Amino acid sequence: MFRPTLFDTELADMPPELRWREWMGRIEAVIFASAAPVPREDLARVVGQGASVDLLIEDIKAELRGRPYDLVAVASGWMFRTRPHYAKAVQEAADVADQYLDLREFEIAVLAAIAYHQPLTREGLKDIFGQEVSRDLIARLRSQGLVTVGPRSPRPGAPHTYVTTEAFLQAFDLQSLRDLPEPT
Amino acid sequence: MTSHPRSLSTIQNADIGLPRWVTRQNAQSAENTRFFAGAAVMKLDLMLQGADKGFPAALLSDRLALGAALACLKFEGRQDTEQALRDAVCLARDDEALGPGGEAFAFWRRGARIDLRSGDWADRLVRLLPERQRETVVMADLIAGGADSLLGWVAEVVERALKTHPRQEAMALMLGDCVLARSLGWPHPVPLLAAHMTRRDLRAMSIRQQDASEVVGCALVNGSDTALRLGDQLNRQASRLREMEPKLRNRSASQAIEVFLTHDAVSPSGMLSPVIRGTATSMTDRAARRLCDRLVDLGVVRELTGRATFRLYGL
Repeated sequence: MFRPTLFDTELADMPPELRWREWMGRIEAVIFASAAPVPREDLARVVGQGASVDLLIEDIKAELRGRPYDLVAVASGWMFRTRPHYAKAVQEAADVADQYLDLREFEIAVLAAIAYHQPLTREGLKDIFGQEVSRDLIARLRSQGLVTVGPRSPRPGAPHTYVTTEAFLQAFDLQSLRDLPEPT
Repeated sequence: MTSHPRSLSTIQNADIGLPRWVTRQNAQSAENTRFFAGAAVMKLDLMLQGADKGFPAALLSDRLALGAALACLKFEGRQDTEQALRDAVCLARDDEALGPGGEAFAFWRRGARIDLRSGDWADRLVRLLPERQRETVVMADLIAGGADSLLGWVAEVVERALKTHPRQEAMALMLGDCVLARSLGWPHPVPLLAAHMTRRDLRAMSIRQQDASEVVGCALVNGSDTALRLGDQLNRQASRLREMEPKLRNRSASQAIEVFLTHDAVSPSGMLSPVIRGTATSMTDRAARRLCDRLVDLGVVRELTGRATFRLYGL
């Protein structure tokens, strides 16, 4: 009878030491291959039932000591990050600011306005900047997951407001909105 | 430890709020604060016990939750208005984010609906926190009791939570409300403390500049006073609203009235139609609007926004 091969997570036929190494390898591979941070639940799916994801990650981190990158926990999961010491080198070699979020100056300004004044409508943005903020620009911020749709504003036409997301906090390394610098 | 007299609210009508001997003057001593706090909670307890006789406890808590949320947003340096919080929770649809103000209100109102009689009440409270904060909170440690008095325990819980999670004032104060309510046998927490604390109070507690039980005791006296007055007012309005039910000549009226008796504000298009919240009874948008207008005409419900559209109604 044909049966789909199930992904073997338990690896019962391996000696414990090898099994542990294989699990470590899987976790590292999954995080390496992912563009976004990987949540713990996802990692738990590639290792045995009783295996502690945290202990596995600790062992991986121990091996990464001395390497120019590290495995770090962010709000929504685990990701690789180059160590701060190499920031200059990375910046020199690649136009990182552009590559990362690809935000232009005005987009950053719009994002900041939403962060400080949320929930905020396009009308509200217009009041702040004295010019129309295009739907395209907001759509870009939305597609990058930095802002999302908030409650409707109780005004004619019921325009949507925009609010920042968890991903916004993560991208700018903020614990909460209170970590936003005091507006000057 | 420095201690200066803390002022308690001054009131006129002793029948409704707390007697004047409680609120007339500064507490003057920690001993007095404890004594007055006991008296305040006693009177509040008597009011809440009227819940079987139709006292709208859920509505009272919901409205106190709004005040608590505003206070906590102020601690964060935000300047949200009552109206903005109402709009956020009433006008956002399920798939829309509430924004910081709406989230603060949602935290307090959901917290105030937690059933403290269930064994996992503390876990439920944790689940109301933003995802990133949940993992760091160890509830069992936070609510562990060592103090020799109830007020001491509540204060200890608030103080400890503020110390381990200095930026989660809402959680700390909600925990204080929960521990108090649970000890008194109340089914749900009543948000009493937050609206009567200042940023300075919180700071003084977290650096142990001031005795936490004195700060919490004062907030409890003033919070009880507020709750008693508001409760009395809502109780009278609730019974008038109930009396109007036969006049409404609407089969779903009693269920709609129940929504008014449990929510700070009601949006006809979101909470009464297409189905009446919490029920399977359907109501058309038009019928919902008509019902609200009628209740306003009868003088038992107010329109809360002053707007011509996106109106919200409440007691």
